[in-house]
Amino acid sequence: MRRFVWHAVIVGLLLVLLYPLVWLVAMSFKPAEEIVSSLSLLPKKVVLGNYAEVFEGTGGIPVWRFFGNSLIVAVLSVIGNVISCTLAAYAFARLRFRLRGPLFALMLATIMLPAHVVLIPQYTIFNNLELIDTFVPLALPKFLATDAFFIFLIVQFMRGLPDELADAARIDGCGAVRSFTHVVLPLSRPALVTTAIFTFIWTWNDFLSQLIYLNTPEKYTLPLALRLFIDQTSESSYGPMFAMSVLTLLPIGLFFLAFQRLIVDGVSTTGMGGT
Amino acid sequence: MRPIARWAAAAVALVALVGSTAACGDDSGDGPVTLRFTWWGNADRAELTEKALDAFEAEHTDIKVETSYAEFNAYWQKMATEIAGGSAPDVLQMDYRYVREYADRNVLAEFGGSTRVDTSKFSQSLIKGGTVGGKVYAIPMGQNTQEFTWDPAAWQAAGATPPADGWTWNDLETAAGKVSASTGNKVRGVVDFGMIEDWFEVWLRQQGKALYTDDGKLAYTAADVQKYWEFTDRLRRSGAATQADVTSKVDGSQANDPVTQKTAASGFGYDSGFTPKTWEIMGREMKLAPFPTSGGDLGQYAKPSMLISVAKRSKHPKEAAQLIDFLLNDKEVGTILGTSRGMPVNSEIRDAIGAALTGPPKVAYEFEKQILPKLKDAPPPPPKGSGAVKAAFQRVYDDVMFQRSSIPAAAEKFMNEAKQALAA
Amino acid sequence: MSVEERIRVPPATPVGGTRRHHRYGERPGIAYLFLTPWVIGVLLLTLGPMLASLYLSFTDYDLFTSPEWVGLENYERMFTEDPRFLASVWVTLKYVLMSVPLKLAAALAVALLLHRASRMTGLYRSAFYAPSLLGASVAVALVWRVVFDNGGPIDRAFGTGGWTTDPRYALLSIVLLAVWQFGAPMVIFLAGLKQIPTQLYDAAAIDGAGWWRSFRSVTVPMLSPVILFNLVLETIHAFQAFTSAFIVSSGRGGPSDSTLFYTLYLYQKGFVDFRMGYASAMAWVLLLVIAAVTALLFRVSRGYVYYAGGDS
Repeated sequence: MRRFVWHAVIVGLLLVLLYPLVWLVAMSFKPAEEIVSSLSLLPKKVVLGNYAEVFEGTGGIPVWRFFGNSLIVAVLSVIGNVISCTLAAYAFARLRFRLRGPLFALMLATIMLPAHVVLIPQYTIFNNLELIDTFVPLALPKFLATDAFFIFLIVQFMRGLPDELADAARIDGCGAVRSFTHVVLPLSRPALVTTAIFTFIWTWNDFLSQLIYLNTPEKYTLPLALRLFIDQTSESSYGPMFAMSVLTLLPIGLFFLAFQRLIVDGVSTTGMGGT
Repeated sequence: MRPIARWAAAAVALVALVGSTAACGDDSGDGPVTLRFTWWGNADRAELTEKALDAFEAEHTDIKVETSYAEFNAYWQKMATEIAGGSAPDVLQMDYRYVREYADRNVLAEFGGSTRVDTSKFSQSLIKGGTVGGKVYAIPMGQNTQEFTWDPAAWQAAGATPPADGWTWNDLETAAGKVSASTGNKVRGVVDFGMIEDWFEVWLRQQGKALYTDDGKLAYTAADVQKYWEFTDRLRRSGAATQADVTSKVDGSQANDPVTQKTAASGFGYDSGFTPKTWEIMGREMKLAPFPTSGGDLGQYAKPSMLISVAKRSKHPKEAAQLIDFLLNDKEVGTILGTSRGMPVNSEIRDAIGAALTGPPKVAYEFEKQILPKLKDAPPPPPKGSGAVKAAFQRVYDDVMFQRSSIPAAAEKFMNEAKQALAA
Repeated sequence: MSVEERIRVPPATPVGGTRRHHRYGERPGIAYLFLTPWVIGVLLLTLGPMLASLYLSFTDYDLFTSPEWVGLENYERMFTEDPRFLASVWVTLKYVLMSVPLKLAAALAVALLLHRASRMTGLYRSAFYAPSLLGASVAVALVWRVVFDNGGPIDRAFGTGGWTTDPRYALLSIVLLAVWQFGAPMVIFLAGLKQIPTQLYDAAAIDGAGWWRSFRSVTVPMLSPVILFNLVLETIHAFQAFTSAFIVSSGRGGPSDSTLFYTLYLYQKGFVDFRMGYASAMAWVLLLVIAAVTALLFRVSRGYVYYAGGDS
């Protein structure tokens, strides 16, 4: 009975929460006229033309190209963030050094300044390095741990690890590096998986930096391609825009579905239950 | 300099220094020249533009053109970042409202001499739209004019008098009122037009006034704004025009246009807004009419729907001008591009493609052809800060629509903000 | 042994505080080795642009011509001559105060609900995360406007008229958009919940603690670092909220400036009006405010947050 109530509550909540998403999907099957003028959820006339138009490509560039570009940027970002943010987080969370306080404050400060005012100086740097219109300005910062959000996230998790574990490692004569690789890293798996998932999804959706740093349409990513359907000064193709939004969602939806288990299973299988 | 300033300036210099070895490897002399051309628009325009550029590259084998495009708002943010960051494109699509903004800040190259573009087939009144202080900084790529879009079926059903040459603002009020009444206010007669500075401009010009003086100051008073808003307010209150909740959605996009959404039967716009799919998206066929008047001047003018410029920093201004000349004057390219950037400015090309048009672009073409003799010169591009004025006009009108402020107070508030925006 | 004794909360020491012993017998330099990528990133990509914007905040800078030093003028003008600035502060404060608690409460509640083994859990978790997959795209904005439109589903359910176009409700519709996308804090809560050793709950059960009791004396203290993290980050994000308002209001912050978020106004100043000096000054005022609020949160949290790993 309790089980049933549990399922019922969840499904009830989901019905409300997913309602706008159903709209999104429904829109992708509506003809142009209905999208702008109709306020009913279900299409009066179901059309598949929006999807056909997406697969025809955008401005002569096949749609898989945008997917491929987004995938490259997202995968590089995930690798970069997981490595660099974990390293930095370990230092902040479990090591002692003189500048820890000030550097930690600086790390937090870098999250606090609105991105718009550092956009131009950052662009200038990459321009001087002649890296505009490459994926480098999108991926390199991740390898240099500029997403301080994730450092902070992993720090908070590492701080939460029981001291006994680290102490045990210390008694075993482990140095900081071995303690990191053998004790802290395996135990931090939920945080690392979370970092990987968020980085992937957020990079997949990021518009501003990709807009600024990519010039050639062949290098455009999905968020850029999506915006090409809408231009207030010329004709907008809302139907294909919705169709492509749905297609864009599928890979990250599957990605999340596949990897969310790791957040959860990470701990129980590393034997932390038995401290 | 104060110590903080010196210290901070050093930091800035440091930023600029990072890898400053760059920016000199460019081709000097012989090899093929590469031009960067950026523009805003949609995928259809992209396809046609690429075709046109292929034709250009076939004819000029020593010039290669790289393109980049985005939608309007993203385009301008990217453009500002690129120019400030030191990597402006060679050729850039330009908007009327930004010409002066960019030209006054020394970003655009002046046309003439080695960067001559043949404009002999263009309407000379249109060229003024890209001219600042007697120098041409932007060349029109397309032309359009203000128009009134109306739904003949709704008019007929309401028994309203159709708009015709020489109709008046009072005629509009009466007809719109009838349409609203005949549909039980489900469809309003006209989209409230009090928030759009462009239509206010036509209204001003009908009285022999203008938005800006030649030296870039406001050329109207709070009393003018008040009078205009009192009229539109009356239309909204009587039910003839759309109500505040609908009107506040208007942002220039089709998705939020009340006429497209069928919550209004007519509205003001530009005739370049008519693309082959317009009727399909609107779900009905519309007609075009000139603006209503108060019995005198029409006030409308031929306006560049978009322009094109060469960046001052371009290393290849001559080739850039060649490209522009080709895009605007080559007959073959003219047929490729068609009306994808508005009505062509070259009159020969316009006539050549006009005959082959169908659907909404045909309607727009016919409208423009018929009204052309009555159009006056385009005013010079608006001054720096005019974008903020235009935005304030719409924003302060929100207060009028939602009845958060009296009309005289709102007009006064707007004038203050406008003066502040222009003061910079 | 009672639950309270088992997990008694030691007073946490501040970041960088003193500590009894060196861990791992480490050499002090080793920390900097771990920090190398981050330090390079800060020096190469972050610090320079930050200082540049600080410098620009004391100048009149239009993006295209050289900045001119104007001292504190930008800062003065903000507080004395710019009613829209004050309006944007007010809008943002309302947004922070509404969206942060609501979003965190929703995230924690759903995380607790899903912290339970079942064949369906993975699917449910993904379904709850689904709205957050969208980010703030044009498609979301259009859907949001339809759902909250005059005659749309919300209007039909509550009879309130259109929300996104009404100055009274427009901000609320954007708050709801933020709350709707509670996936990120939810996942972080879930990961935190999984980190709590199960025998603490077993012990609590042996002591006869009910659900509420073990929630208060096991879950909350053990989860407190994660709660603090989510609170700090969501607060920072809320202060910087931009994209959703930008997209839903087509960049205007309307109607009647009712969704003129701080960073939206900053963007308008910098990239639409070409007053990057003023925008930079606004950015630094925001940084100071966020830093103060964050410091306050850390300070208040000291008595409440429990780190199994001791200090730091």
